[in-house]
Amino acid sequence: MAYIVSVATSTAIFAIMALGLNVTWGFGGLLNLGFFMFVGVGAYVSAVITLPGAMPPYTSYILGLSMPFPVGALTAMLVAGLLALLIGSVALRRLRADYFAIVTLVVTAILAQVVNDQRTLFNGSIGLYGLPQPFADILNTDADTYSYFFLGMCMVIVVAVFWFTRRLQWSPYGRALRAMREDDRAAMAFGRNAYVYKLKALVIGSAIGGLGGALAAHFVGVWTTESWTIGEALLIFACIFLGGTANNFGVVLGTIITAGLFQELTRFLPQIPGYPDAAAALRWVIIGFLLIIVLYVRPRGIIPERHDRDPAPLPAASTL
Amino acid sequence: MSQFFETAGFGLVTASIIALSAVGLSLQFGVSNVPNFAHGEFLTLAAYGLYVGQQLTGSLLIGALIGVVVGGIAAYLVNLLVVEPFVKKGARVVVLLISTTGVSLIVENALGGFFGNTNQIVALPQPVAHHLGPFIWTTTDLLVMLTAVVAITGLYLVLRFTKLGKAQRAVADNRVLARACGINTEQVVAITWVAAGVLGALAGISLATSGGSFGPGLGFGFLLVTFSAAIIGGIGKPFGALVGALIVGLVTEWSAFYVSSGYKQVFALSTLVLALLFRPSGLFTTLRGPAVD
Repeated sequence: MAYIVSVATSTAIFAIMALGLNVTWGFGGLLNLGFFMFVGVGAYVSAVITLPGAMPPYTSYILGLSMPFPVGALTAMLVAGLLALLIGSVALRRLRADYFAIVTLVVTAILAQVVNDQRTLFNGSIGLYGLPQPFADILNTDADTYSYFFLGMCMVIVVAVFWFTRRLQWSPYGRALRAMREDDRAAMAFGRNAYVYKLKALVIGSAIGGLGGALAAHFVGVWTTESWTIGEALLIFACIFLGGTANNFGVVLGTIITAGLFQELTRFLPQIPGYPDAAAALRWVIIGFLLIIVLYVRPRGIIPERHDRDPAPLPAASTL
Repeated sequence: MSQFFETAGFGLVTASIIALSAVGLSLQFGVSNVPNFAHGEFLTLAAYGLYVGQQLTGSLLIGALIGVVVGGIAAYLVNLLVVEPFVKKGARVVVLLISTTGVSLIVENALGGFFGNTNQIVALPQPVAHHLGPFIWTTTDLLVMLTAVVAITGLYLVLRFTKLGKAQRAVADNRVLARACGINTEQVVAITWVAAGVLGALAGISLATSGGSFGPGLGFGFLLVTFSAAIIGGIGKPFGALVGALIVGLVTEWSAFYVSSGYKQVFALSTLVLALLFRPSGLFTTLRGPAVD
């Protein structure tokens, strides 16, 4: 039972990240391959805000404020959002999909290297550990009951993020953003500044990613640069593609299938004698194939994007 | 000052490896108009081909030949099995980016699963240092630079003076128009992929031999540097990538010497960020605007 609760919690956290990436990629069409950078930054920021001060020479990191989790999580969102604003204001200048994707990867690589080498920042390659459990001091319950509480908290946040991004999707801003995803120039011809719209999509998505990172870090209790790989980002893309790009229900369904079932079931793959790394590697190979096959067979996902709530185009516009 | 030149000498070796990889990537992008994030795996596969070949025969040269063949075949298959089907369906550029990244994930982990995630060692003869003017190079360094010069000169001659090269340039300019002129565009694109794979393989072999050991992440780690050089030179312009490689290679080694070797990758990648800030379509933009957009 404890195992199921733990899988459900990690799936819920993945769903939060996927809903966030869906704003950037699904609504905005921005290929943010460095999405995990924002997740990682959120995790680190929340960690150093909630952890007590560092104890050199054993550990060394900035801040260490012993603040409660909500402060850490909100700061995580803020910092992830600001970082996205900084990167986006440079990388989105020339709205070219492949350059943007490469720049996000490059910045992720640079940041991972800096965090790894600068031990004073976030304890270098050893990473941060012993993160406090959110609200554990107030609740004061046993570990079993606490795991249900944490799952419940994540579920509430999933619902909140779901509701927020859904409102965003059907708002005038969301409609204009999705129009730009299809055709930049047409939207700009109607007087919309594509640069600002896309920058907002990147910032909102990354802030949600930072929140997911904060939850992930406090759930696991440790955070290192190990978790900054391209594979992690592709896993979240796989969730979105499988379920349905730009459809919140699809994204959650895709996360349950990919991050929940696929990730967990493949953990039980038998060990192959003589190949110690094969079982772990096979999981990523399967994710890679899943990604390519879904993109080829059903590029719009299991539950495709809906357009029925968008206002019907005016007759005059459709003849243009 | 002598150290400045010695470091520059290392920079030229690094630049040669980057150039092999980036010229191939840029050529393939220019002709097929597909950004390939699996390019790094051509390097990795070739390095493993070299390793297996050397283990089986004991000869570094035969290993290298096997590596080149493996790289070429891998590129042909990636185009045939993944890229072309998507292109025929009219998939968008971002979809191709994601699918080729998926290919990269598959190859890297398949190699890691089969050979293990530990590093493989390439057996090399005792290094001999040669003093040439202000530079110091080992025999391996000289061979790496010679390989790059020969391969890239060969590519230039093919592109400039053969019918195939003319067809490649035509397809790069306008695929539909080229087909209308009776060029077998699919074949030209496939040959270009094989060429990119072979150049990538040479880069991978050079990287593995000059490093002495490598793991399954070899190529993906080098992909960003490759893209940096290609973009600085203006992606789709293979000989622009040559200059991009020179810049990235020298910056890598100088920063490793004057700042810290831990940060050489950071400096190398920062050149890309700077280039995108100031010359977003590459150093060599023509007056008519970017060649590939």
